[in-house]
Amino acid sequence: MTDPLISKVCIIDDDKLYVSLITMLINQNHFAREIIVFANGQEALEYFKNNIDNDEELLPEIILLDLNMPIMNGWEFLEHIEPYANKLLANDVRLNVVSSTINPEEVDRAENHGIVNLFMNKPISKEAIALAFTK
Amino acid sequence: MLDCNDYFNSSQEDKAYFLSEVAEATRTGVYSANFKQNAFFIDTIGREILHMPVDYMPSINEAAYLLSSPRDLKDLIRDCQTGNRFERDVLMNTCSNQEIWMRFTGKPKHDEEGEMIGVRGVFTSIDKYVREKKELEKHSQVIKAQNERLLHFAHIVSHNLRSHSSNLELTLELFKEVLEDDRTKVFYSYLGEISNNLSSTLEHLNQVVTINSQKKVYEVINVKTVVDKVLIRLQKELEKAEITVKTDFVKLQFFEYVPAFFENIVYTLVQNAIKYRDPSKSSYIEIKTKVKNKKRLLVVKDNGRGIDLTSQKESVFQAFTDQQKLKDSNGLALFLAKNQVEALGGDLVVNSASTIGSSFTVKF
Repeated sequence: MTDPLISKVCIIDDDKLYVSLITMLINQNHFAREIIVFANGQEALEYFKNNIDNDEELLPEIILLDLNMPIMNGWEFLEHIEPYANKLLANDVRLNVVSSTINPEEVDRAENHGIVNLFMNKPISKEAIALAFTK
Repeated sequence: MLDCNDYFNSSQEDKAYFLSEVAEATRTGVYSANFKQNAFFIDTIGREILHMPVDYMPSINEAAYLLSSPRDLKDLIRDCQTGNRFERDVLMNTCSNQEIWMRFTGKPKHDEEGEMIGVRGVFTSIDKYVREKKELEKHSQVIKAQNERLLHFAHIVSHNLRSHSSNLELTLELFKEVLEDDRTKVFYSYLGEISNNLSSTLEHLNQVVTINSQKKVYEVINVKTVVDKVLIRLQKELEKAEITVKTDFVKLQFFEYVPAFFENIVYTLVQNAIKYRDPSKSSYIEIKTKVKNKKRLLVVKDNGRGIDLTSQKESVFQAFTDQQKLKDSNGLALFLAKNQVEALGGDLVVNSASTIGSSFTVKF
């Protein structure tokens, strides 16, 4: 078995079907050793707030953040995670936005957002994940 | 003759006639305020416009109430104080309590010592135009708001559809690994085709939705380079159908346009010519540029089956009109190309006669 591309990936998405599928895809292709999933921005924010200074917790190298979610959407999550941006950077955490939006304003906003590493459009392919996990 | 000064110099009577004719035709009233005598004079046409009784002689104060807004009055007084001629659009009250928009001019009058003793000028009703303009502005605001709502709706629908289509694609991607017997393979291929068609229709829909909201950056385009690129993209289809392509860009080699739009327009027109070729004769496509009446044109002409314009003229550029288009994943292509041309202020028209072929002209 080949070594996975990364140790840990964090998926923040409320679409259960998408989460199951992307989990299968990542596992099948050995893209990551561990996957953590949050159904909205609020849950993910709690996790990062609690663990960013926790040396015992291995932080994910990649975050795949959806934009359209209940309770706390992707934009709100980005706003709330901003104060921790430097710490995320120091821990080599790369945040990628994954969305089916075609609204050019949203795409622009995501691509030019300070904390966002990549904007990825759904449908997301095996190749796109491999690329995002390696750069 | 209008340029013959003698004609106008002929008599004072003529001058008076022309003046009164202009006033009548343009519904222009004349006023004069005399500050020393506190008197205000308005002529007959002015009285008609303001519905003012012939025997009513307003004082300057009373005349001031003809202006609807105290601010306009203040501005007019300030204009007078400059000593120069002035012109303003103001809202006036008629004596029958109607509000009318008026173009109001005036020039202060001074005595020998330089003291301002009055002001005189003309006023023309512009009510019809101002109200029509306001009505138009209101309509355009409503249309703008509706457009924004529609665009928002289209984005949401598109987003949701794409989520489903994306999950379908992912499912198929994973399903590929567990294909067992031949029957599953057949169903899998059906599902794959459905998924591809769905994605491609969505892709076209996305293009329609984003045409007008995309950033449109103009660049200098080398027509030959873009057309050659398109011909390479379509090379296989052109060779398979044994189509000869003739090009001529001597009249217009470079011009400014949005590169992605231009390439798509050329691609669509060539692809359309291939699709509607007549297999019973040797096919050709002519692509050339022209400049006509300072308008830049691109013409794509073929000798294919042509389009019966008597029955289809309106529908050529409409999305999802004929059955052929519906089955075809590129059904939206012409509709899209026309939208792109129009989004940049141009026009795409078709001239065709059945059996001779079609000719599409893009006016940039």
